[in-house]
Amino acid sequence: MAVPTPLHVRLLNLLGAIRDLSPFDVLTAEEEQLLGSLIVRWHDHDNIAVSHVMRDLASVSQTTIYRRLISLRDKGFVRLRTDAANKRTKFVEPTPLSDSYAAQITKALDQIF
Amino acid sequence: MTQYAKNSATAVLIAFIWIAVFTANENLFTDSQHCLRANWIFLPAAIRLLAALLFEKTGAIGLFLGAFLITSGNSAEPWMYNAGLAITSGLAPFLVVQIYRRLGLITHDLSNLRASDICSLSLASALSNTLILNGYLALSGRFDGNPMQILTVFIGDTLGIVVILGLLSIILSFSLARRR
Repeated sequence: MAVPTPLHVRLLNLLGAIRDLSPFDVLTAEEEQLLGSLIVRWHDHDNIAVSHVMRDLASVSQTTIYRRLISLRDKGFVRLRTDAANKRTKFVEPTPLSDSYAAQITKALDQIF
Repeated sequence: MTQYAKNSATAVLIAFIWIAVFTANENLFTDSQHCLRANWIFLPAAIRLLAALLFEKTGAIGLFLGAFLITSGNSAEPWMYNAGLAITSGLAPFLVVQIYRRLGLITHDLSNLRASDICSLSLASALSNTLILNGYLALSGRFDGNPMQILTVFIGDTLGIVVILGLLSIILSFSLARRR
C-alpha cells in the first residue's frame, strides 16, 4: 500500500505550480547585489568575463555566482556572450532591462539629492 | 489526534472557508449575479479546486458541508434538494482531480503539477461544475432552459479561479523562486 503523501509536500508542490503562473520575476537580494556590482563594472570596463566576476566575489562559491548569473539572464537583466576566440570564456553584458534598472536608480538618487 | 478527527476538522475548516468566500463574493459582486445559482464572477470556485487538489475526499466533504449550510440557510427548498445541490459543489472538482490522476496527468503528491496543468484543471473544474450543477437543476425541474444560466456558471467559475489564483501567484512571486 502506498504511503500517503504528507500534506506539506502536496501544499508546497501546489504553491510552486501556482507561483509559476505569475509572469513576474522578482530579484532576490543576492541577485540585486550582483546586478549592482555588474553595473559598476560595466561603467568602467567592457568585456566582463564570468570568471572575473567569480574571482572578485571570492566569498561566494563559483557555482552560486554562476547560478545567480543564470537567474539574472533568465529574468532578462544580463546577456551571456561566448568569446569567439575562446569558447570556454563567457562575457556578461548588460541588456536594455539592466540599463533601465540603472536609470531608475539614478532617477531615484536625483530625487533625493 | 486520530486521522478521522483530523479529517473531520479539515472538512469543517474547508466549510468555513467556503462560507466566508461565498459570502464575500455575494457582497462584492451582487450586481453581476445572473440568478440565484449563477454569478458572472464566482470566487469560491477557486476554493473548490484547491480543496480537491489538496484534500481529495475530505475536501469534497468540506465543500459539501459549506455549500449545504449556505443553501439551507438561503432557501425554503426541501433539505434533500439542498443536499443534492451541495453534493454537486464538492463532486465536480473531485471528479476532475480523480480523472487527471487516473490519466496519469498529476501524481498524488502533485510533484509533476505545472502551471499549464493548473490552467487546464481550472477550465475542467469550471466545465465539470457547469455540467453537473445544471444537469442536477434540470433533473430536479428547476432549470428554465436558458443557455445564459449555463454560460454564466462556466464563466463565473473560470473568472473566479483566474482572479484568486492570479492574485495568489503574484503574492507567491515575492517569496518563492520560479521552479526550473
